[in-house]
Amino acid sequence: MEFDKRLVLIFLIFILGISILVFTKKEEDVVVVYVAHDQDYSEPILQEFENITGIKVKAMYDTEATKTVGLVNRLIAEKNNPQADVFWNNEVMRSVLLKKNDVLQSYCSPNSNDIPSIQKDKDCYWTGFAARARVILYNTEKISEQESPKSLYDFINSRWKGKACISNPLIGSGSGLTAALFASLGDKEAKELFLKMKENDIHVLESPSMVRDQVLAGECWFGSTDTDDAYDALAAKKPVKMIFPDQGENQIGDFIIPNSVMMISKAPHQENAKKLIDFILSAHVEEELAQSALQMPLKASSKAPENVPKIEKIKSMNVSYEEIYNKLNVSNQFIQETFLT
Amino acid sequence: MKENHFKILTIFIVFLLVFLPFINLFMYVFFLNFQLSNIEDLWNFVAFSLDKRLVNIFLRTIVIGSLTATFSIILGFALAYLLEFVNIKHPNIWRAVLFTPFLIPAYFFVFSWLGFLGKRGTFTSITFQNIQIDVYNPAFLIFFLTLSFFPIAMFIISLGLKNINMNLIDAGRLSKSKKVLKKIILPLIKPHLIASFFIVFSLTVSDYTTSSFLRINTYQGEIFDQLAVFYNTKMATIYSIPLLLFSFGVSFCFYYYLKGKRFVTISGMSRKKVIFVKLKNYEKVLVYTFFLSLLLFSLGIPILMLFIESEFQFSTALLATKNELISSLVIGGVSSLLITILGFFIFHFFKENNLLNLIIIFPLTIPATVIGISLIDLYSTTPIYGNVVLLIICYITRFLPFSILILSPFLTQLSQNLEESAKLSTGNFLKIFWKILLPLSKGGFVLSFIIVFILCLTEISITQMLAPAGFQTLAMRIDTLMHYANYSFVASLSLILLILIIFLYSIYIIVYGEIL
Repeated sequence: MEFDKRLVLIFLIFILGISILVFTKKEEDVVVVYVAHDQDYSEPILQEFENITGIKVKAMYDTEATKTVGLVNRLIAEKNNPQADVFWNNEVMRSVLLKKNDVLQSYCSPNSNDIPSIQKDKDCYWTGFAARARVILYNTEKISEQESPKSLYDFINSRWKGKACISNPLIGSGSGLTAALFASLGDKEAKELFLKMKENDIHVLESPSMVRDQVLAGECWFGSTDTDDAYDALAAKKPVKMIFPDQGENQIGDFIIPNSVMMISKAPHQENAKKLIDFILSAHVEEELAQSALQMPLKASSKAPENVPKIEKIKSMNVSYEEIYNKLNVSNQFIQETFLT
Repeated sequence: MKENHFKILTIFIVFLLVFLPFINLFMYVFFLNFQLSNIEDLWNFVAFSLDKRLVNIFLRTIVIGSLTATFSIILGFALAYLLEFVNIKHPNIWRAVLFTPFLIPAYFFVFSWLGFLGKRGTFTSITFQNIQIDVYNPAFLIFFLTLSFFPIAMFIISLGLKNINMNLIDAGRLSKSKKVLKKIILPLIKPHLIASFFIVFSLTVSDYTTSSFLRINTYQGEIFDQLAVFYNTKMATIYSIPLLLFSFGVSFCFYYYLKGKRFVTISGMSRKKVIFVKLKNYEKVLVYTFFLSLLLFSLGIPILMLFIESEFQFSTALLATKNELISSLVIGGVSSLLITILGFFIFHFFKENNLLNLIIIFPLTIPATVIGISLIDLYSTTPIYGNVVLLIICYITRFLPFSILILSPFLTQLSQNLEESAKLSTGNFLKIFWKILLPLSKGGFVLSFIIVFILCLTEISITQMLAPAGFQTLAMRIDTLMHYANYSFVASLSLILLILIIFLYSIYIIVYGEIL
């Protein structure tokens, strides 16, 4: 084949032209948001904000397994040259971490007034909204309702040896639950619980959605996952049921995981960032998330479908997010040494 | 522009893109603000390194890397030998098809093989329900990585075999034909065997995604956990030091071992293919069975499983990700073009220099996430941060070695006389490049562009760290969907990506007929 130089030249100009067009288009009226919440649910909400306000939303999404590297580490690394205006986190512990690393800027949204004080930072560095909870999902073809597990302590019952699974206790909501258990039970008892889980041949899977899938398949008879993943299976009328664990009088209660939203320190588009935070903290967004991801509204003014439990009816662990955050390093260290051998 | 100016520019770019990120790693960890600051952390790491758990993980990683490299070399050598010296039909087509698995990311193998061998897998359903194959172990990790990396060993060893002087083989055959392999061929291609070993080893120890899918904790996982779990970027970098030292060690061993020789050298590409092993028909059948079995494992089953898992949601998946697809094509196109041009100049200027081996080996041994951290640290306060330009720089750092390797056989066959004659008529190197060098090596140029383009299309780990807000590649989207357990979309998109890869590669094969 003859080497056509004009063709090469056209090709070069084409590639460079397209890249210049695509990547160097300057937009002034924008807001940059890093999103750790599932893209399927968060993207329509950001799109709606864009349609209502005309402010272009540039979003950076991440996955369950890598979000802590992709987003939190990025935000820390970018501290001196911030790129993001807003961080929409799908939990709270890393929001506390960012606050402690001086990555955040205080902003008290007027829409956060009716959010319970335990679900937001007292200095308005982060604000919680629309919560998930940690639940036990069990396969009804394998376990009857009477014998179904109702506590995290059922994971160490020898009757269920090799039948239970949890999501990676080092990553995402799994690591939050682990730290919450350390904060709630104390280091010694929490360590014993995890050591016994290991002895009971518990399966450690990559993410809560994989726990759901393994329970659906009957490969695990039950597992600890998040409400949104469990609801997916229930909505598809699969042979599974969901239980909020440890709801008894003397039990520790469940781990509640709100989303949290925060403004980045020295955010390049501060006014737009405030508008986006106000929008995300509106009752409308909580209702949207209740509809799409079955997340539990925290605002008194938000209305949710009947199949979404009321947050006030769930007994939650009696520990603050600061206390849970303080246990994060100890619990992660222990889990790493115990499970990752 | 004179040749010397180009040479200086190339050296500057190589320093900036290949070596500076690694120098920065050391500065970042130990000499923050140009003051020795972090010896204590290093000492803690040394003390911690004696921890039995970490030593076990490190040794496990080395064993996995060594075994993957060994198996890849055995397969690669067998294939290269059969394709080069044996009387089989259509060796170029076989060579091209057998190279294809390298273009498919290793995590695709795992995803599709889990669908086949997993507890609910196709294998179980078509055999006995109670047969359950546990794929979550190091043996399967080695198996999957070997399926992914043997083609690169085949490629490098083929360079060696093509380079052997046939007179030596003929002489050997006249005396003791049975010892030709042991006494002549293997000693002559030793640099290529060693190079294959270290390149496959490096690719294996820097792979994180595949081992994490199979729930096998490797040293890469430990580095990743320092970032993902403890947010300790300095410790993650310190954890990378053993790999950096290894990288230095390997590079310098190469430097001394290959003094006067180069594993990328090939002078005999234009020589006629010489067949000196003539197989009988039944032996040929065995060889074809071997090829087909390898293709079944490395291409057939993965593609079949992706079809089954896809539930044929191709149009829905494609519509939902068209922006990501366009972004991937544009960033991949620009990056691979720049990488190929740079690879061309590097090889041209350093082909007589052992520095070339260093440039090839060095970037392969550093984990992608660590390169990502270094680049963030290096560029976070510059205007290119938060821009796709940084992503292009990172792709250049990561994939430059592959471009040089691919270009090497094409560039070494260029006649020195032609270039010298051109220099007599013009001092403008750009003109010589455009009118003489580029047209003569067009096949290599296009092949390098296509393969690097494919590597850019499928890269995830570092793209995830450096992609600007509002920018997502198709591979990132597939990874996200995989974690959401949306398997039908993952399989559909993976197949679309695979079809694109095979389409591009096929165009090259059709136009140029061979890969070497």
